[in-house]
Formats: sequence, structure tokens, C-alpha cells
Amino acid sequence: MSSIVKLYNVTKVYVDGPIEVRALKGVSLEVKNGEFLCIMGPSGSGKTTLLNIISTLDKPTSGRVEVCGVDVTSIPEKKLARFRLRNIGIVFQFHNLIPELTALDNVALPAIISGASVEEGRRRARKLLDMLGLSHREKHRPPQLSGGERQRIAIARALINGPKLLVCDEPTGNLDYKSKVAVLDLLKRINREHGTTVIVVTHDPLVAEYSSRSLRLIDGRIK
Amino acid sequence: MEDVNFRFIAFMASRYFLSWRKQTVVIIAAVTGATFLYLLSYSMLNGLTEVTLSRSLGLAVPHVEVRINESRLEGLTDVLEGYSVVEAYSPRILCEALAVHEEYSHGVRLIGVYDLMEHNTSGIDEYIVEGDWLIENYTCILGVKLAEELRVDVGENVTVILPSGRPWMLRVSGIFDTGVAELDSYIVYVSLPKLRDLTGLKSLVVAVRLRDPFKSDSLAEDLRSMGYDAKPWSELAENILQLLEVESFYSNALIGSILVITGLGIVNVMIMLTESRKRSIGILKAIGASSMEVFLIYLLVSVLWGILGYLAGTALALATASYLREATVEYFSLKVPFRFSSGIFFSALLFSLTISSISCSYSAYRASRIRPAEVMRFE
Repeated sequence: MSSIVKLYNVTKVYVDGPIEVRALKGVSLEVKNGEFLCIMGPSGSGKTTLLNIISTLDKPTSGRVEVCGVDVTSIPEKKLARFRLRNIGIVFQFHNLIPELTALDNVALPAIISGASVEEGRRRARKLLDMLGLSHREKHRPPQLSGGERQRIAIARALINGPKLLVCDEPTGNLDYKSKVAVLDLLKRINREHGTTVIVVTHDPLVAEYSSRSLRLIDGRIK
Repeated sequence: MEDVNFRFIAFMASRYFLSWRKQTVVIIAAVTGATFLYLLSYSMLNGLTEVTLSRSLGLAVPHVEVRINESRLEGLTDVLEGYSVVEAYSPRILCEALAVHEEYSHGVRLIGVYDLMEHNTSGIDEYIVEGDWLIENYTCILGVKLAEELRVDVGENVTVILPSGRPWMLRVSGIFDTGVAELDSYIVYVSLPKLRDLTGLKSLVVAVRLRDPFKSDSLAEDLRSMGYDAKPWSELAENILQLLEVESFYSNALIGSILVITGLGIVNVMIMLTESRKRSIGILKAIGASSMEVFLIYLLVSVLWGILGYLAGTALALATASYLREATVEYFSLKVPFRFSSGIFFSALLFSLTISSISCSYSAYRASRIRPAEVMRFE
């Protein structure tokens, strides 16, 4: 099976004046197509940094990162946004929806950015919301939705352009047990039915039960 | 060059525009106020310029003035008749005097004229508000303010004391009201031949009216080359033009201040808005929007604010001008109308868009520089 993500000896150092924080200390990692990978670790272990680098939101200090067969460390910053748009779906820790948009338009947004008309984007978004059982919420704005609903809408938004890779940062972080299960069931379904590679970083052990492989990240190193 | 999807930019800008209600109201109100003041200031300045020049040129100030001895008048009239641009001319004798009526007196300038020639040249007779334009040896026409000072009315007599001390009794046949204080409170029109007889003055001032007042410089230049002491209105009305320049300077300073103050207010609102929307901007960029698109979204919202502020400010200015035009505005005893032109409306549009877009550009730039990884780690 081919690899969708490859990390070669990746380091990330944050410099804040005289203070240097080494968030990642030579991480090498390979994720196969269609995998459901769970990266676990305590707070401050570098999970979010690793996920930001995989999702091209951040660049490593050293090392090389390949996503979907492309060396993303060599892509200029200006081109990375469109690369993400075409290849990667991202679900953030705090279900980051845009408060000015309805649930439907939040989901449709990546499709509109990628060139679909507003009507076409909404049509595709409606289909996804229907699949997730959230049709009745399409006109609601984020503050009117529950935490679980917001996270599922964020997942729908990440899926609308049919990405090969879905990366999730603590997707169950603030949810009650019922909502956690609903979100994890959804991720598992997407992975199984659509073959989408899912990478989740979390400190929630429940996620590991849904994944096909688990890794532990401790103090910037994969154990 | 970054990818730019204008459909997405328009979509997001419209959503932001509809959602940021408080900011939209505040910024549109600021642009409306600034546009309103801009249009009103410049339309008043236009009106003031128009009124000042129209009232002064030809009336208080001739288009061209030629100072000449009576002996050369015939030669000059021959010359003037040869210019098609010359509409009319009127010889005048000027003389300072004291006007007395009962126990009231006032310093005046007597202007000796031939009534028909003066009618064709200055058109002063159009401003007669009482009596008639009738100048004979023992009649005079004077301004409304002077008539008030002397407590004299049409049909009553005033006595003019000439520089020689000789009195000259004149019946007031008409009173004019030009709105130009200098004329209304100081000038008395009398018969030229009689004034010449009484004073022995031989020097004349010939006022020339042109079909196109803006050809006064070239005519004056021609007359000078022929040896005449000629001056165009731009030299004669130097103080009026300077006054208008000063007025224009203060208007520009006022508009500049409005621009800066309004702009700083908008910058402040936009910086607060951008700071509070960092996460939202981070999401946009994380899901695929380019920095240029984020910049253009913010800029488009600011342009929409500018256009709406312009329309509202223009409507308000037109409504105010329409209301005040009926009531008229008194300014140095001139009634100053509001004079709008397409140029003013166009420059006001540029003004509104400049305020809103330049003020928002900095925030738009800051928004476009936001790095999603930095703003989305924490709740």
C-alpha cells in the first residue's frame, strides 16, 4: 500500500527571544493510504505541532515532509493554501466554524473557494449534512449548535472537497461521551467507506479503539 | 501571484458585511458624515465663488477698466467698437463726497454716468428695488444701505457736498439692492455731464463689459500696447480672488481634517474587528483561502461601506441643501447658494472610497498576514 504522508527526521523549534522550545525532535513517520492513525500523547508533547506540519499549516525547522507524494517543505507559502484545499481536510481542536456563516455555508465554503458556484457548494454541503443527520441545522449559525453538532459540521466541511487525507486535532476534546462516540463513528465511517486516510492526534484513549494504528508522542519523539 | 477566486471573495465579503452590523453602522455613519461635510463645504465654496464673481464682475468690478483723459475718449471708443468681444462700455467720473439728509450724513462715492450706457454695461438698474433708473442733472440713485443710513426714501432730497465744498441737491429717483455691501452702502449714481460741470474733473474711468469675461486679460493687454491705462478684472478684483483663495484653503484644511479624523476612527474600529476575528481568518486560510483573497475580502467590505456612506452622505447633503436653499444662507450679506456639480460628486465618491479603503487596508493587510497555526491552537 502506498504512503500518503512521509516525515523524515522532522524537527520544530520555536524561538521566543532567548527561549528555544524544541517541540519536535527528529520525528520520522510514514502513514499509508487508507489508514486510521491515532497519535496520542500528553499535553505539550508536540501533537498539535506535528499535526500542523502534516497539514501544511506550519513548516518544520529541519527535515522533509511529503504529503500525497509532494514535498510540501519546498512548496512556497503562497501555494500551500490551494494545496491544502485540494488534498487535505482539517478538523481543529475547538471545532472552528466561521461564526458569520450558517452551518450550510460553513460546510460549502471549501467548495466555493475551490471554484464551485455558491449554489453548487450548497448543494454538495446539503448532501453531506443530510448524510450526517444535520439537515435540520443547515440554517443555524455556530453559536446555536451543540458542541457535537459543531464538530460534525467541521468534519463535513473538511470532507466537502473529497480530500485524500483528513487530519483531526483533538476532535473529541470538549465533547460529552455520546457526542464523542458520534464523532468517532463518523470518522470511522469516512475512513472505511470512502478510503480517506484519517490522522487524529488526541489524548483521549477512546480514539485509539477506533483507529487502525496508534502511536505515542512523548517529549517531541515518537515512541 | 497567488490564486484569487473572486466569487469566493464576493461571497465572504457579503456575509461579513451583513454580519458585522455594529461596525457597518459605525463606519457607514462616519463615511456618511464625512461625505456630507465634504459635499456641503465644496458646494458652498462653489456657490460663494459664483455669487461673488457674478455680483462683483461687471457690477462692482468692470471686466476691463480704462483710466483716460476725456480728450482721448473718442479714440478709445473707436478702438473698443472694433472688438467683437466688447459688449458695452460706460464712461464714468468718480468723486468722493459727503451726502447729507436732515441730520444724517455719510461719506459716499459719486459715480457720474450716462444712464443708458451704464444700464448696458453694469446692469445696475436690474437691482432697483424702489423707484426708477432715472438719472438727470438733479436726480440720483443710491444703495439701500446708504438710504437706510441717511433715512432717505425715493422722492426725497439729499444734499451732496462736493470736495470743493459746493452743495448739490439731488432728488432720489431710485434705490438699488445688489447684496454687495461695498455698493449698497457707499455708491451714488449721478449724471456724468453735471458732475463734470460741477467738479471740473476731466479724468474718466471707462468700464468695459465683455461677452466673455475671461478674455479681459487679452483685451487689457491690447489696450496697454496702444498706450491706454487698462486693467483686467483679475487685477481689479485681486482682493476678491485672494479672499476666495483663502476660503478655498480653509475649506481644504477642513476637509483634510475630516479625512484624517474619520480615517483614524475607521482604522481603530477595523483593528479591533480584525483582532476579534483572528481565529475566523485563521480558519479561512487553513481551509484554503489565500492571503490575497483574505486581503481582498476585507478591502471589498470596506469599499461597500464607502459606497453606502457616499450614497447616504450625498442624499443627506442634497436634502440639506434643498432645505437651506429655500431658507438661503446669509454670509457677509451675500445669499450663498449650494452649487453641486458632477465634479464634486465624483470627487466625493473618491473621497469616501479613499477614507474607507485606505483606513481598512492596514487591517486587511494584517488579516492577510495571520498564520492559522498560530491563532488556532487555543480556545
